[in-house]
Amino acid sequence: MSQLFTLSFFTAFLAAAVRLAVPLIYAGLGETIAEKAGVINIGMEGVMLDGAFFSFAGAWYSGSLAVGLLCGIAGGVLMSVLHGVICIVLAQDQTVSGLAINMFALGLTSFLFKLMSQGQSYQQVETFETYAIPGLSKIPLIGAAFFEKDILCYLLYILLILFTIFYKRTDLGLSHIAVGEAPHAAESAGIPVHLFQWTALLVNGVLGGIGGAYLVLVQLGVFTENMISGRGYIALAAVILGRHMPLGMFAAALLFGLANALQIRLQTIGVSVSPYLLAILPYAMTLLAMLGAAGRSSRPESLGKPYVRGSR
Amino acid sequence: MEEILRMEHITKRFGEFYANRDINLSVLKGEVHTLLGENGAGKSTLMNILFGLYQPSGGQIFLHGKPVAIDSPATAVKLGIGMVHQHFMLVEAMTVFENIILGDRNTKGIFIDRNARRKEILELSERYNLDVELDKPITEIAVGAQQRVEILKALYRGAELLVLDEPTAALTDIEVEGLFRIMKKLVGEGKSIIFISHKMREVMQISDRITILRAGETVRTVERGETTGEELAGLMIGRELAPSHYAKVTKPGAAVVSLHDVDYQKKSKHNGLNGVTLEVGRGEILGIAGVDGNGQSQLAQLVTGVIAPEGGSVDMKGSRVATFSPNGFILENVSHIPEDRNKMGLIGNMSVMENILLKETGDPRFSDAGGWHLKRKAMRTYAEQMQQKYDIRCTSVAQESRNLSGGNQQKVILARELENHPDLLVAVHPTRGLDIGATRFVHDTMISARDAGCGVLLISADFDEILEMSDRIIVIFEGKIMGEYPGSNPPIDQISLAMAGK
Amino acid sequence: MNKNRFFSILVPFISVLLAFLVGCIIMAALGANPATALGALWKGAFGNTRNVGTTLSRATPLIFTSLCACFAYRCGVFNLGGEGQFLIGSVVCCYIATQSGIVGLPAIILCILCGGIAGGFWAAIPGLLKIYRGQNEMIISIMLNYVATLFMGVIYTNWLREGSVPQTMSVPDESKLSRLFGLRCTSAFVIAVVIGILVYYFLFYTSMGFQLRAVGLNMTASQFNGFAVKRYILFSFIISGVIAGVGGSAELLGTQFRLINGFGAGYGFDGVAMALIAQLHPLAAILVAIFFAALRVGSTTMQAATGVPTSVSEIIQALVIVFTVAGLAMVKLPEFKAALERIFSAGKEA
Repeated sequence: MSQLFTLSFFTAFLAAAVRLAVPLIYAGLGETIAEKAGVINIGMEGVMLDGAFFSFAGAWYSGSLAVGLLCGIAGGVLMSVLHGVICIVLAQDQTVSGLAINMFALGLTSFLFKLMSQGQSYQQVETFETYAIPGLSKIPLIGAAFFEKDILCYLLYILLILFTIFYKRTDLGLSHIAVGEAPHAAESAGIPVHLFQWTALLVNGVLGGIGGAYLVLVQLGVFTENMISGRGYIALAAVILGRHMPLGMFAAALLFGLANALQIRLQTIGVSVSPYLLAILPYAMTLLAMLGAAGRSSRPESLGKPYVRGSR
Repeated sequence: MEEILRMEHITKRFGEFYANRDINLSVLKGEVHTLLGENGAGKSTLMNILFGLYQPSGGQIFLHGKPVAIDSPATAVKLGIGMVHQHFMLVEAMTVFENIILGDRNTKGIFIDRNARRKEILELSERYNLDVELDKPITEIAVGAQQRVEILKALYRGAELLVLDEPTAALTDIEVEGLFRIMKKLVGEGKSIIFISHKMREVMQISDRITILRAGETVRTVERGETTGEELAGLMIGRELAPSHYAKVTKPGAAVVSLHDVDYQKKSKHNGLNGVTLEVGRGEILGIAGVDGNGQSQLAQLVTGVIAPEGGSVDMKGSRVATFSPNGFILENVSHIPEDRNKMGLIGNMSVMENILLKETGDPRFSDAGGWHLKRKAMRTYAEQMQQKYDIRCTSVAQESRNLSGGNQQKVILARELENHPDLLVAVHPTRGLDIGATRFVHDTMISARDAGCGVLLISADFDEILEMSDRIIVIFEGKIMGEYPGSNPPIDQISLAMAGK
Repeated sequence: MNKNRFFSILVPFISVLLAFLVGCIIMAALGANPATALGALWKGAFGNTRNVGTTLSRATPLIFTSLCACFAYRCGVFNLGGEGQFLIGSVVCCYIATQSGIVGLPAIILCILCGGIAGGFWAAIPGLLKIYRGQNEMIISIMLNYVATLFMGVIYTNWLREGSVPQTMSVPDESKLSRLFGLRCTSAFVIAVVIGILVYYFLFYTSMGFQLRAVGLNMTASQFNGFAVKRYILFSFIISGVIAGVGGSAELLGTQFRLINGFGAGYGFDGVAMALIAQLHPLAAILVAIFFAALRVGSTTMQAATGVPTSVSEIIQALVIVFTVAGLAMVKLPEFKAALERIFSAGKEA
């Protein structure tokens, strides 16, 4: 067991945790933004799946990672727009819409992927390179984990900081929070509620799309059917655990990453426990964390309620 | 004087129903212009059109003589229109300061320049005597202060024309005086105000001109100096006021329910009860008078078992209540006409029949085998009888209750709550938002329940209703009982003072 | 007929038609004759009694999971954990069937009973967390799906593993459910339909079911009218879990006989989709489940006969869901409703 507690073990462990957490944090940030504006997107899984598939298809046919990324973003936005049409324009139940989106995305991507592959298996597309940030990456323990990453990961750090400032310090951020808390009050203060909700959903699609694309373009290089396998839902849990703030969500997602990295580590060093049992660990941890967290306190007051102008 | 707003031939249709038909309104600079009308006369619809919340089906709006299209509240704000809604439009999770600056785009840069904005707001608040505590959360300030925040909010956005939708409904007399001072100051500085009300005394006190609406149409616009309260009332109702006077009961029967020194969140001024002692006897109507939000909701929920007291005790028909649950009180034969019929009274997506029988499906009349087999036919027959008896106008008892008018929805609730001859009826704002006919029906039904021996606890913010119906009157203020008065020849002055906390 | 009800039936039918239309376009684009392909699809699903049996057998677990979803949603709570409850039920059932030594009818009854209880227990977790902690029941129940899937993994790779292949030992022959008329479908189908009818009866013909629906439509009003709202929520979770758990047991004893990687995968969300298309009507849910099973079974024949990949059928399934949800949303719009009513009344006059 001594090999468990060396510095290099912890470094690798932390690096794995961050790697596992990044797609979740992208999706979680997108979901945070949508929920702040009062729209819950249970369809995050579908948004990510679409992002993953279209980024793969884009990168495969064009041979360019940038094109792949853009396609992934477009794929994610496609799903969030669909969600917007159903629950903003038609003012329908957001949960039902989100569920439909998940199913639609699963059907669509599986179908298109089969069409693309015609039975043959795909080779990998190349993935984004990592750049170590001079100085920072040399910090013991966390340097390699956080600062020897790819460009999308650095972008994520910037986005997290920007959105934290956005909510805490800017006019638009304040308006944004008001839309989720009290849309009627927001509208009467001259804030175009639906415009804000649409913007939030588009950002939700972009970030969710990147989250899915990240799996393909940075980590795996391949697409497989239903490859998101629940990450979208875990992102939703992270938003709740993070009390609907970007940095809180970041911490919650990282916690999940740590639990997951831990179980993988334990597997590789050959602990004599069933790998399936170990794999329960991150989910069990999330459940325990939710058991401890109070549910409603941080959620925007009007979350999930369709806003119809002029009604009460 | 310059005309600031003209609304011409405004029509708004909802399906077959005309909420506004060919309405004309003209507001001058520097005047308080009152829109007078009963509930449902179309005042709120007209103002929602002005504020861009509804699009008119016909007609044209002119501001400063120029035709404008107001497609959203954002546009209305840009055009210098500010609105203070009857239900305040404040974000409760935010502070006063945040609420005032919310959504205002006249800023340089993207960051909130707190100091500069604070200075601007303080200047405004001094100029118009609008005291507010900028850093308090909305939930911690009184209703009057929230209203001042709303007015500041509108002024901060550069409103020239201010719409106040029933601003006095939730205020004490003192606060009303304060509001009127502010309004005078505002028009003195060249702002214009549209004041919506149906309280004659206030209208005669503050208005420069008055436009009367009735059933969605303009009746007339008059100068305040050329009219009287009686004439206005006549124009508003369309006929002479002939209030029905019900015979008052002076000797009630044995107590149905009695509260002894009951506390519930007694620190809270607006949502608590503090040492409340009262009793309702058989065959009497006890009216609880008071301005909305002084603990009435909590009182109603307590005597229907929705919430439990934190101190004191409640006796039901002579025996102490141990556990508080709605079901326990229903079993004690307590009926409830809740304050919000759509949220608390009806299952909107269920039929009239299902709503009438909501509590009765386990009854042997409507099901066999202890509720394990519903007798659909018996249910329908019964519901149709009730439809006749309570004059519920619907296409059939299978119609969804959310599609009924407010009056008919209330009748569904009456049919459910009164048909089983309750020992106690708790009625909260039972006629709020109803037209005259439905109001009369509800009142008559309550009186006949009383005469049949039911104890009635009537909680209403409508003072006229309290005076008309009550055999005894108790005034509640900030969760405390201020005094008890007889229902026949009540001392109206004393009661008004008590309602203001004196 | 009531207009609302008319539209709520019309919309799914139109959605199905539209979905097939898109499917046909895709088939044509792939160079197949849509008519031939659809013919093959039909034949594969219902062409002869053997195929009908296969279709019903595929439909059986879907009926269970969609009834599971129906029941909870009728009470206004979203139980997305049907899959986990299904799996936990099958795990417990598998353990008893293979380890207890009891065989035959007593074993079947015991297995299904315990499977149901296990499913109900699994569903009680999100129910309790929702009631007492205010947590989002959807996310909790999804997490529990993963836990159940992985736990089943432990079972078939480790605890009850038989041989080198990661799968459990088989249920003894005497404890398997009997086949109907020698077809693929077993008495599990009968159990599913009976449960469907019971759920329908409960919801619409009993006082408790009536109150449960009232709670689902308006919790505040239900509370004010004296219904035990929290108890109903927990009850609906547990019963919906029991239905899923029984489904998992029936699937194990009737069709699969052993736990293996992929057992029951996707059934939970399929059930949710079907419940939504059926608009939470339990009897409609049975029909919808058979329809989806037919698409799945038939698509194999279609692929073999015309070369149209089975995934076209998946796309059709997905489109049915999306069109129905969007369509039901649309008919609720006032403008749309008014237009429909004009057409409606014009048709009446003509």
